[in-house]
Amino acid sequence: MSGRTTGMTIGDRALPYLLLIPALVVGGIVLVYPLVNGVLLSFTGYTFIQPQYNWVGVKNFVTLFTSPIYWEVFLNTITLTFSAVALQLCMGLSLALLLNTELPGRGAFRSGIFFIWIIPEIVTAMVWMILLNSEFGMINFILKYIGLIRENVIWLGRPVEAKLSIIMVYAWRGTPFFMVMILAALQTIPSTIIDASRIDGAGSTQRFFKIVLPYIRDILILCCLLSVVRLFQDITQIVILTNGGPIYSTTTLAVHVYKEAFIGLQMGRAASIGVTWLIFLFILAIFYIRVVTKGEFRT
Amino acid sequence: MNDQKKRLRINSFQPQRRGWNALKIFFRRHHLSRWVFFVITLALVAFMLFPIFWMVRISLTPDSLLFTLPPKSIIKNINLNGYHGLFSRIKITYFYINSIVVATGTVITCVFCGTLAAYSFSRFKYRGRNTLMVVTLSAQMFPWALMIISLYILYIKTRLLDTRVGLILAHTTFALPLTIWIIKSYFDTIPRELEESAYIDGCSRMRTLLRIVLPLTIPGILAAAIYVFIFSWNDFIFGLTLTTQNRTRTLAPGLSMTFIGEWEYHWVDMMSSSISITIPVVILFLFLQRYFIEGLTAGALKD
Repeated sequence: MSGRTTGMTIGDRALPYLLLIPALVVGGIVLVYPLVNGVLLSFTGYTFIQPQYNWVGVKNFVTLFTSPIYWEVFLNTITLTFSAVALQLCMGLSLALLLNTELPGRGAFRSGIFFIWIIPEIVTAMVWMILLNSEFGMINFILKYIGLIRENVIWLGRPVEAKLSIIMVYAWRGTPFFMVMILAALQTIPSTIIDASRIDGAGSTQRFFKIVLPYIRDILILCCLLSVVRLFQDITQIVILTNGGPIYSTTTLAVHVYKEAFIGLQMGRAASIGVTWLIFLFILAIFYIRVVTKGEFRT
Repeated sequence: MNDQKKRLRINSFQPQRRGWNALKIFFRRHHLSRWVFFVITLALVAFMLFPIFWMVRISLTPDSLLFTLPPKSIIKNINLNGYHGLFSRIKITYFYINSIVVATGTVITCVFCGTLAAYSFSRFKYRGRNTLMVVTLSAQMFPWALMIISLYILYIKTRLLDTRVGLILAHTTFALPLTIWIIKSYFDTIPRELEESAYIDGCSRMRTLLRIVLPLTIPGILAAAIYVFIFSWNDFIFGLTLTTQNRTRTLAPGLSMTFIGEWEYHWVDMMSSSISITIPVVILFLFLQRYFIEGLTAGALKD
């Protein structure tokens, strides 16, 4: 009873751990185990037909690093992800800046744009498949109408064009997220600072680079990181639009792992690709945690 | 004269009463450069939303007008066949039921586990807390494709393959970290004094959580719940790999199996089913978008 008065019974001390149990059970089984098991798998010759953990050492990795396909896929992942994120940043930032002014109906605009982000990926991928169709797709029609191209472009069937299409679809889908986050960040800038700069005679360009940009810098970095991670995980849109082709020109690491494991049925080899990806993401994760938790853990 | 034309075009876009007043004030207060902004924004938004418009249009186009270029107006002969037989195709009904069950199950498990864990992270200091929080944060960066392989093998062993429980478990795992983070940032905003006064009045910890703190966290929990629901509803890759039969498949993989990769494409049916799977998330979003956007930005914006 005396524990009650100081507010610390044994039950109270155990409470934080007790509260964590449900999350730990679920997370432990389906998060940690697959990860550890995945790393183990990458050192085995596990296939669908021979489901055994027969140890082959680093053989999978040697095959991987000596094959040109792996490096092409790696490069694809970098190109597609980073160019899409750059586009998302530009479009998201400009839309957010536009909608941060006192426009009538900006709430409707914001919801309208954000709407794109919540539609199932498979739906948007299917729509783009129709829009990008080389014979009756609207993209070709509009470009011809404006006069930018003369003949129909085969968007999803040629290496370079397919890459461009994927980048465009990625950028289109990710922009709303950037817009909403940046808009929220812009609205936290105290108006007194803006007014003060106006009195001091700063022009709008100067104000943007000297005040607004530094203020929202953290959120921009966070958005970019989140978006890179999200695009790294994406399998859906590529599988629907190009299925990684033509040849390997739009295969990213995620798609490569998926196809190697579930179409090639070579689980061990697929896992080794996943592990190299894990290393890359680990570096990103360190960045991410530093951005998100600045100061948080020091309390 | 030119001004009038522009004004007319803008007015016709905003039919509501509030919009009208806002527009009047807007024009009184500002000068031309603002309109230019407005027109640019309008053009950009229209450009962004064009694919959505096109999806709706294709779903209503009669087959004979599907491939005509330049596109003709379809208002006179709208084709409702895509929607008419939507649920008579038995498979889609299955997919729907599976998606609803899986998404609801995922929301319940996520919110239950997430709220408790978030409360623990937000209110207590203990050994291992920081490590666990870092793991939570970085969990969305784990290579999912790699983990699906192990999950698949695990599910074969434990007979969870082709079950809804298996899918719920998989979705929960990947949605849980962000759930915890969103709800935690709401707990952080609730002053501790509130709980302390409850203890003084003789409330136990658990009772305080349930009766006093939880009701205040409802917006955060709602935000997380919407996020989880949308995540689970939209998921494609887990549904594709962890189920093998139509009986247990959810909507997204079900649709791709039905429409992609066959020799002939049924564009109209494809788009009408796409719209039918979009509608539930849209309804959810329209009613709860305030919470959703707040929740999404809350975790990132707090200092």
